[in-house]
Amino acid sequence: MKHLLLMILFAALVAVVFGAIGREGLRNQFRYGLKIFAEFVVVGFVLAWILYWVP
Amino acid sequence: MSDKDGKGALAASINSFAGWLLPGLGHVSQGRVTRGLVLGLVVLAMFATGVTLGGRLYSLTDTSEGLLSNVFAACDLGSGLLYFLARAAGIATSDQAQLDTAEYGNIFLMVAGLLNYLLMLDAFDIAVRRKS
Repeated sequence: MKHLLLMILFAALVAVVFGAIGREGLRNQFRYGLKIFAEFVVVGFVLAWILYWVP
Repeated sequence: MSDKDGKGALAASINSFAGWLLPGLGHVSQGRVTRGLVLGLVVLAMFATGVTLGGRLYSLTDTSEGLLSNVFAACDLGSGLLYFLARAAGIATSDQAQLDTAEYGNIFLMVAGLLNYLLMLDAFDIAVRRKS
């Protein structure tokens, strides 16, 4: 559980920075940040499942 | 390059350097106070989380991981004053992992530095009007 929370915290912090510097306008920044956050979490889960099967 | 451009680039470089030293300062000094404060706090939160998780700040003379130590140190160095103050205070300098989350801590510390490098470049771009 701790690992998942750390991954989510990491994704959230990085997403704020990427959102703020990657787009202009509050709405665009929010949407882009949300997209980055979702990508981090989804890719994290996918990699975790792939690595689960790797001995 | 005209004299005016040269002065602008110098001012932008000084601005970026201030941003590297204190995360967010490069934006605040250009009047983008909210943006600077939010981004500075994010870098600070990343750094503080890394320290709390037992991460380690690599020094440039460290050779414990071979050449990678230099790469890690270059990443850590991005945090500017936070890096120097923490090292001077002996925080996050132990080469023995004290917590089972130390590896996560290392990553948080390195990414805090890398994000601050990005903020530096962003502040520079704003100063030379490459972006609004």
